[in-house]
Amino acid sequence: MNTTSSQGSVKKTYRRQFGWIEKTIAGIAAAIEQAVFTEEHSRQPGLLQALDPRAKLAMFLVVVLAASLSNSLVALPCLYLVLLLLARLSKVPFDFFIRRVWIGIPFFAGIVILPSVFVTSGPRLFDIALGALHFGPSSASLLSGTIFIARVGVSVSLAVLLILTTPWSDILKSLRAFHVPQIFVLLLSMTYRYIFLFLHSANGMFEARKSRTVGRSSGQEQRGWVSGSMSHLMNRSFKMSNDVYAAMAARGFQGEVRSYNAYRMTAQDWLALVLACLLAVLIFCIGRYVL
Amino acid sequence: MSSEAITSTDNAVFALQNVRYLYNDRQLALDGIDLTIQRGEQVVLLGANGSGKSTLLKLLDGIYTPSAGTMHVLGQDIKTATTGEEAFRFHQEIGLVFQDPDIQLFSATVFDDVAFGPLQMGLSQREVKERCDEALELMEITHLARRAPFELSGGEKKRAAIASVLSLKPEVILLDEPTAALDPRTKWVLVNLIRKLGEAGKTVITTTHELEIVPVIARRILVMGENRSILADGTPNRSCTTANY
Ligand SMILES: Nc1ncnc2c1ncn2[C@@H]1O[C@H](COP(=O)(O)OP(=O)(O)OP(=O)(O)O)[C@@H](O)[C@H]1O
Ligand SMILES: [Mg+2]
Repeated sequence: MNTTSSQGSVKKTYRRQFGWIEKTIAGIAAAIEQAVFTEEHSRQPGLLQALDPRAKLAMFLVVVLAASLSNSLVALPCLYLVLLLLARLSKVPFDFFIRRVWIGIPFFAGIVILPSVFVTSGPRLFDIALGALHFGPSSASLLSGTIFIARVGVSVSLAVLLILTTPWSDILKSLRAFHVPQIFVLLLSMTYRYIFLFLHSANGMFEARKSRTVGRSSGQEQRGWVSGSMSHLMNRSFKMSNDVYAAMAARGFQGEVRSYNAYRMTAQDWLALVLACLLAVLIFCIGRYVL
Repeated sequence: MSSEAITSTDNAVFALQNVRYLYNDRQLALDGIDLTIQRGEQVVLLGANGSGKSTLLKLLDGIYTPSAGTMHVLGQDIKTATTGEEAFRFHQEIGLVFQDPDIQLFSATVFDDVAFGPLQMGLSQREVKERCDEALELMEITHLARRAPFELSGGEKKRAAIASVLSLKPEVILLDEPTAALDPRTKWVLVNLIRKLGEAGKTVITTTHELEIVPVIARRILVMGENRSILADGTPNRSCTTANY
């Protein structure tokens, strides 16, 4: 099987059969496909999974509204603790939940907020001089920056929690219940399918290449292959999504997303919704009257 | 010309005259197809790889329209049959199982996929559930109902794809290599199912490369030739022996 052992130069670089570019892309594609499209968390028997998706969506909207209006450094962390508790009760792994949210997103939020933190007038905590320009945070700008990051983090956590515990088709369905226009829901569902097909063919291509690669490929070859295959991949998944549309039309699809609705709002759902509203009011009050 | 075609093909499910199909206006896939299929016929379509079998089935299912020639489906011109209100009836009557199940399974779970067609037809929740349970049971995949389609094995996907068409209960069933990727036992379960559908009066058109199943499911055999048209048309024993592909 190992035909490379006879050739010294090939053997030398054999250990780097797959470089980091391929590994990274293949890893990302496989991880997303696994995490999002198997909907593994949404099918666990957990607290949030048991609720009606429409109730969940309403709860999400109410609490996000309260969080984004809040500027209290007491209320937001408290809310986050409640979210962690809910994640626990819904069998969403802690490290997955926390890392997903806090690694990328506040970083981007940070870039947005940095200018307003450092470009201030009045008394500064410290001062950075760049020629004639002076920069530095004031205590007020630092506080508002922190609050902004906390709000974004909490809102994103809420969204992640909703998405992880609810099958995608149910989220779309509940959007219809809230009278979101049909065309918007259709667009969302087609986008989702397109991304899915894209990842799926990406995985297929990586596997196909892996199975046919004997020996090693240089970094340059790899980069060439990756950039070449990306355009091919776009074409391929575009053709596939056309085919999928044809397959949908062949089964009578005429633009209306209909789905099997086995859900019914129960007393439990109403209770959860009322609790979420109380939570929202509480957050609001803490911000207003306590701190 | 067209009025004569309609009267002569009144009872036919499909009537094609001199049909030609090109992919992207360049790649010739079908040429000079003359074909009439009556209600209740059980047809097997044979032919080498790339001879145009899948293309013909997609044409019959109204996914593609002929580049040239005339085509009537259920007594109607294909163009009128696949637009507006008529399209609805058309897709209810004719169901296609694609060669590649990955194309056909696009929902988050197998159940959602099987339910897709009946839901589009506007059936009640109870009817949808009944039809899905029945189709899943027929294909013996009830235990896979809540799984995601892409994490299934090749044969499981194929069975799910077939179930998703059976739940529509179409009068005309087009099957593109339904037994590919199935294990021998499942294959014969399916072959028997196809035979029963035929006995129940449904029109069934199947493509396959497996000659041993042909006598069981075919009353008529069509062979596609290298020149992208129909080379032979006859009863099982004759075409099987004369056609060498
Ligand atoms: N999307 C496409 N674009 C361009 N050409 C295509 C496309 N799909 C098929 N063809 C070409 O059309 C011809 C007929 O293809 P088709 O898939 O109908 O063959 P087939 O008889 O089903 O083959 P098989 O037994 O391998 O399934 C082939 O020459 C093929 O290359
Ligand atoms: Mg084919």
